Amino acid sequence: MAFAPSKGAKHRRKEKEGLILGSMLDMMTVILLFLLKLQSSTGAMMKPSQYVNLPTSTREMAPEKSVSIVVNPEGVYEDIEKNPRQLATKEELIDSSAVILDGLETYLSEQREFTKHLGKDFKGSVTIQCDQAITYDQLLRVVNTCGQAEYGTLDFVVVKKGKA
Amino acid sequence: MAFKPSLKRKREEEEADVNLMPMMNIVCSLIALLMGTAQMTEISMLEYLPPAEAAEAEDSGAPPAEAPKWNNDATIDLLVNIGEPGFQVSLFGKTEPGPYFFEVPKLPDGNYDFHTLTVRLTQVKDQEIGSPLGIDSVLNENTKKMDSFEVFRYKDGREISLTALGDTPFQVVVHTMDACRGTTVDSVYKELFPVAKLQTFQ
Repeated sequence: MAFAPSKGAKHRRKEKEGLILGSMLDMMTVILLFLLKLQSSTGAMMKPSQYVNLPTSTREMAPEKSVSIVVNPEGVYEDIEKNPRQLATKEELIDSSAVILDGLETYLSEQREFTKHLGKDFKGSVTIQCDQAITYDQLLRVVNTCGQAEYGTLDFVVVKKGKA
Repeated sequence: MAFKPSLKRKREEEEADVNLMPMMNIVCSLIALLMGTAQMTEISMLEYLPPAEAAEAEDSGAPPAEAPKWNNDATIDLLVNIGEPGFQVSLFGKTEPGPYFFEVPKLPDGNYDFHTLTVRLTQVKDQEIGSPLGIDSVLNENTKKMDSFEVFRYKDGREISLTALGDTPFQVVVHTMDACRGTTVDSVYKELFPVAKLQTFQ
């Protein structure tokens, strides 16, 4: 025998079912603000190259974008993400008789002339992403070449670590 | 006369819900985008002025209106050599063991002892160079602002020359520059020798 449907059920107020999105939206907004702050403080201007393993340092100095090169044990490259042009080969970099890297000097001179051609001030600063495995001899070769090309301020990119 | 309450008042009030789904979609997309582009490693810059450039900056940047009140032509010629047995520190060009030439050997694990180097350089700064005589300033070509710095009784009181064996890794050079730059004592940062010059190993 079938029971008659309850009259109470007929008049019972239907409760709404579903996710409470308000609190979730609050949480998402906080994450969004945090990420925006992170983006603005680190600066999207400078991105570490995928081709180098940067050294760590306690130095705290905001990165600035200028003429940028990448130095790793395979050679010296211009700092672009895909298909970077090689400015000095591995052999040139380890050649103990060389003082100046010709390809790098040519590139830096081109950049200097291009800056002047655009009517901008030539500040003579170059940003170097140098691999931590580069040796002192190779480093001096790069530094000497930058000096030869009239770049007087060299900014080495490092990964910041806590103060000692 | 009181009116009888309207029967319509018993009607259920409909809740006006804001549709949050489109907003949630936008926020989720933005979070994914920002996380994709965020840099989780914080990078910094290590500025290096080659010797000639550093000398020019010192010579040309003094304020023209007033001559310096100090005469500090004397130099201390502080040099740190990163060698195989450890660091060798020389003052006044001395190369024989004594108060002006000492060594900081490597740690038993074979690593360089950066902490002891900082401690010894702090002693050099305190005992040989002493307190600053005053403040000088130079024009920073990049920012077009005057950068102030302390002047000591030695003209090169903020400078240190570094030399290293040819096969010394760049990471060791950077750590040595960090050890020479300054130290934190009782939560107070003390500047030691922030201007490093890379020189050829003699």
